[in-house]
Amino acid sequence: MEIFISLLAIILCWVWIECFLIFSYKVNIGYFDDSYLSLSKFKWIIRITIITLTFLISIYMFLFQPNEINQVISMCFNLILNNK
Amino acid sequence: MLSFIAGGITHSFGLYLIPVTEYLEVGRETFGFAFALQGFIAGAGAFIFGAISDKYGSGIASFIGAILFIVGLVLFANVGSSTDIIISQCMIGFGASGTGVSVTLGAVGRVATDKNRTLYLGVVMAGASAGQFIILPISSFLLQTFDWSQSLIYLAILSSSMLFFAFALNFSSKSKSSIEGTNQSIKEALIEALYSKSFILLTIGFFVCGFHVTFVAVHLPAYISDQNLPSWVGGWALALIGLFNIVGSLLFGYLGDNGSKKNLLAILYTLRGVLFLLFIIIPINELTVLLFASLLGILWLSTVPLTSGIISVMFGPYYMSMLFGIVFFSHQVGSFLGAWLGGKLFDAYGSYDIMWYACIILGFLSALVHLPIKEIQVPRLQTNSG
Repeated sequence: MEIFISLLAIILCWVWIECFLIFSYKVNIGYFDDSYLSLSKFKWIIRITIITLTFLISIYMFLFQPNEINQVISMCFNLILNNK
Repeated sequence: MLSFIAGGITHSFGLYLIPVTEYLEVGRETFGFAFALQGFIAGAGAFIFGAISDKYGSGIASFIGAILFIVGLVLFANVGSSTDIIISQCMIGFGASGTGVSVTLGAVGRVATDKNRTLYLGVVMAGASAGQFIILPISSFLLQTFDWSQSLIYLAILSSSMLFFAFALNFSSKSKSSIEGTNQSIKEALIEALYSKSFILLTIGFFVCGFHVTFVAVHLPAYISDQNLPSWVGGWALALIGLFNIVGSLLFGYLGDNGSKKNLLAILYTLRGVLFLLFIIIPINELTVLLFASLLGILWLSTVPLTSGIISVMFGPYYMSMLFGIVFFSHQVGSFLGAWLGGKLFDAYGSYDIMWYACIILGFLSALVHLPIKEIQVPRLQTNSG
């Protein structure tokens, strides 16, 4: 269930990114200078990045117990004042 | 790589809270204070190291920063009292500002061309964000394998690789803007920026970024826990923020090269405001929290390539590190207030409602603040190019 919900959130966010890219392209059409990196190439860079990071994060999350990872990540985001 | 390593290690310090305070038998507020001071010094030092970087080269600035960072880590590994923690964290704070984003963004900004500068700045930010999530498990592993003091020494050894990257950063001295140089002194550059209405508006807007980001990073797990959601949600939420932060930096970096950066910033802050609003209106469950975290991740530090890109457009890349250092200080002040007020208001009212409303209002205000910014060269550069 945990991985299903997380993947669903990632997919929905991914869809948002694709839509936002298309929207930005349509709005800026004429000004869009993709001579050094085309939009389609950039989209693939984004897709590969998302897939790779999702894979890595999934492995990372399952290597640790949920409570442990919660504690580690929370503390590393300067949660110390909350843990007094 | 400099921001990747330094950023990653400084974000791992939370792991040392319990072992260090237990070893020294001191309260956690000492550690918290030293930590807060480190962040503040990193913000204030960004301007100083930015000026060194612009005047004497990014390689020299980051080399000094790396040395201070390593010395700070060694001192931290050998702390014997509360004062030692504070001194070592101050040293690390200065080191982090020398190896931090203001220096690296300036170096990359000078080398990149106008066509691809914002994307390059986005790549730097994506690298710095990745460091926070890759160094973290390494630090955790070291702490589990060795004692806390020894693990810090290993982190200091890892940090010594930054010296090599500092030398490599000298490439920016061969850039067009560095070779051409400037007749402008640091004082003149500062006066020019501080008298620019657009620069002031950009600085005010970036304050909101710090406020949002730190409030969410510090208080979101506690908020999720208050909603009685399963414990795994907090961990996944922060992991998804990290994932989409990398993607968002690249996304807005790319779009910044192909459209108006200030309009993108206005859209970004508006989206943040809408997202915070939806988060408190829509019923909280596992999916909505993770979706909120993912979308917020895209908008997390995507402001950095756009903000630094505007500075470069307005004032040219020569004093970019120093000027970004000033804007970054405003971000750090916002960060401090976001973390502190979140806790203060929760203690007073028992909920984060006021903070969420403050985040919504500030998001929309920041969007408005960015609209009048003139994304054009200052008259000095227009005269030169004309």
